[in-house]
Order: sequence, then structure tokens, then C-alpha cells
Amino acid sequence: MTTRSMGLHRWLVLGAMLLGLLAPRVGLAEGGTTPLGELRVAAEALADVEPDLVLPPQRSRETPPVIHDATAAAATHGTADSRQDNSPKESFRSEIKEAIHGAVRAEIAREAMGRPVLAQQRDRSKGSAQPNDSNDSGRGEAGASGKAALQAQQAHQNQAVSQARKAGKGESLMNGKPMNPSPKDFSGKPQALR
Amino acid sequence: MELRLRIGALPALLLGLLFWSQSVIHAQEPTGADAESQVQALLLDGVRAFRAEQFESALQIFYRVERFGPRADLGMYRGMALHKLGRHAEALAEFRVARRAGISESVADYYDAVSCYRLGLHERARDGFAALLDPQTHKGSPPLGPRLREGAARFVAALDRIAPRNPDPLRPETALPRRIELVQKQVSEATQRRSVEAQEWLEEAALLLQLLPIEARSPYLPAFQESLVALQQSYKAQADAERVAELSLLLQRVRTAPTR
Repeated sequence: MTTRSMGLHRWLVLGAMLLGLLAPRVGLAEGGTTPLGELRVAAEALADVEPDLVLPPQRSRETPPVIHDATAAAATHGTADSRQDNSPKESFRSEIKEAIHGAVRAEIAREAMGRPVLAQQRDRSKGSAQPNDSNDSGRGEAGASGKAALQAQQAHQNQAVSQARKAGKGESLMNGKPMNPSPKDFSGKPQALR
Repeated sequence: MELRLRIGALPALLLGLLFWSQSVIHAQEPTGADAESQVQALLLDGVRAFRAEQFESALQIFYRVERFGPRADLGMYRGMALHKLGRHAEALAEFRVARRAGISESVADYYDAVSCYRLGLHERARDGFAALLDPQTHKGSPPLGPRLREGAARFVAALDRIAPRNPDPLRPETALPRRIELVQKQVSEATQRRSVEAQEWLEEAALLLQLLPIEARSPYLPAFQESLVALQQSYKAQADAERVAELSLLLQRVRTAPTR
């Protein structure tokens, strides 16, 4: 190897080292993993896109904020460490609540949809129309869904009462130990409709 | 031989100089590049907490960043965390700070508009979403992605139902005078409470008043001005000249701006 090529080699090594020293800062400045880039991605993924969704306020224990400077705000937030662990739980709870509400609404809607079929079956079995039916048909969809909701609620209550009674019997039979009702006892049919 | 030694020592000498200069720079500027890299690392931590839906934790981290000195973009980070915590009025105040510092970020503006919607600031929300859906605006930052564009369109549709531009005669609550009265009530209550919502409601009232012809605004102006002056007084007490000036401009706009 000549002296000239050895010198060139050394310069190349020096250049590579300089690049290694400076590259991380250049990369960060030009948008590698910048906080802003990350924030854009996260904020877009977590953004609220549903106007009808009503989220419960997550700071029910706090006093309403008043006009103050940023340092005061920071001081207020500094005492809220205990809350930071609760926020995922609360959001989880609200999600569950939403899911339950959704399921109840769907059930009511299904009841309302199935109601005309039930009414027809009842008419066929009795041979004549009930006077209430004509009133209901005049009230429209809102009335039907409201009545269906009441029926569903009544059925649910009846079911709970019969279950409690059977459980009471079971306890007396099983010497105080809880006993599940047998499938034939637990018909699920509301008492009012029997 | 002597020449060869000299050539060989040159890179080592340069390297030594480089390290020495770095250490001198760091010794002379303790709050320079080091502080900036710490800020960037802290902001990244905050954003990661945000992504993990630990919004309170993210907010704490974003407040901690301020220890390194004021930053123009902090309002945007904090606004998003506050929005996710359901603290919409505070979020709006933070977004305003960022905007005042010249920060323009479409995702932050989306959050701003949703916060307005959630607080019931319907005119502001409508303006915000309309601007986001207009391709001419937000040249400084990447445009909204498809998910947020769809979300913005949904919010606009919801606003057309809740607060239609052409009020429904069968729904008196949608009539403009009724809406102005309700908003002025909110302004007055928020001002009395010295709530951070006060300025947000004042801006909503200003937008609604600008829907009226100038001559039709006069019955509403005394109440509007009274609340505005009360708010200005509280900002003056804090020596917040920027906000005082903002409110003066707002009053001027309501008095003189043509019908929107």
C-alpha cells in the first residue's frame, strides 16, 4: 500500500467517525422519531370521531377550573398522581357501561320489531283482537317500543322473582346452601304471560 | 519517514480537536443541545404515555417539560392530553396558546373543534371542522388522514342537526336569538365563576353575534361588553397583556365586522 492510499484511508475513517457523531442529531431534527411525528400518529388513532358518543367526565372529584396562570395549573396537576392509575379503569368501566346500554337498546329494539308477530299469534289463539291493540297501532313506533320495553322489564322482574322464590326453596332443601334451579324449573317464561 | 508520521498524526489530531471542541461547547452552554435533547426525550415519553392512553401521566410529563423553558408547541401537546381527559375548556385554552405562538397542526385543530363541540360551542366547532375539511387551509402541517376527515364530516352533520344554520321553526331552541341568549347566559355564569370557560363562551357569543346584521347586534352588546370587561380585568390582574389585547380585538370584531 502506498503512502498516498494510506492517507486516504485514514481520512475515510475520520469521515465515518464524524458522520457517526453527528448523524443521530440530524436524524432527530429531520423527523426520525420526533415527538411531533409520534403525537400525530397517536392522536389520529385515538381521536374522537363519534359525535353522539357521550364520554363521562374523568375529573368528577376536582373543583371546576378557574382562571389562573400556568404554574398554578402545573401545581394542581402535581397533586393528581393518584388519579392517573384510575383513568384506564374508568375508561374501561365506561366502555362496559356503553356496551351494556347498547345491548339493552338492541334488545328493546328487537322486542319492538318482534311485537307485531307476537300480537298476530295472540289474536289467532284468542280469535279476536284486543281493544288495546288498536290504541297501540295508533301511537306508532314510539308507543310500540315503549310498551315492548315495559314488557321486557316486567318479564325480567318476574323472572328475578321466580328465581328468588326457587332459590329460597332450594336453600331450605339444601340446608342453607345455595342451589341452582334445574332447567325444567327455570323456564324463563314471564309469570304475567303464563 | 518524518513526513509519513506527520500525515498519520493529522487525523488523530483532528479527532482530538473535535472532542475537545465538543466538551468546550457543552461546558459553555449547559442549557443548549443537552437541554433540547432532554426536552425531546421527555416529550417522547409524554407522547408514549398518551399513546398508551395514560392521559393524566402524559399531561404531567408535558407540564414537566416547561421546566426547561417556555416552548411554543407545548400548548398543543397539553391540549390534546386535556382533551382526552374531558377537560375541554382547559384544552381550548392550551390550543389557543399554541396558535398564538404560530403553531399550526391539523390534528390539534381537530381536537380543538371536538372540544368545542363537546362544550356546546357549536359555532366554533362548525368553523373548526369546516376549515379542516377545506384543502386550502393547513398548508403548514400534513392534512388530516381519512379517519379524521370522516370524523369531521360526521361532526358537521351532527351540528347541522343540533344547531342548523337555517333554524327549524318547529324547534325554537335553534333560532338565532334563542341561541345567543343561551350563550350569553353561559358567558355571564362563567365570568362570575372566573372559570376558564369564560373566554371560550365569549368567543362563541362573538361568532353568533356576527351572524346578525350590525344594527341588530346592539341589544346584545351591553351584556357582551360587561362580561368581556370583567374578564379583561382578571387578565390585567395577572399581567396577561396578550389576552387583554385578544379580548379588545374580539369586542371590536363584534361591533364592526360585517355579517358572516
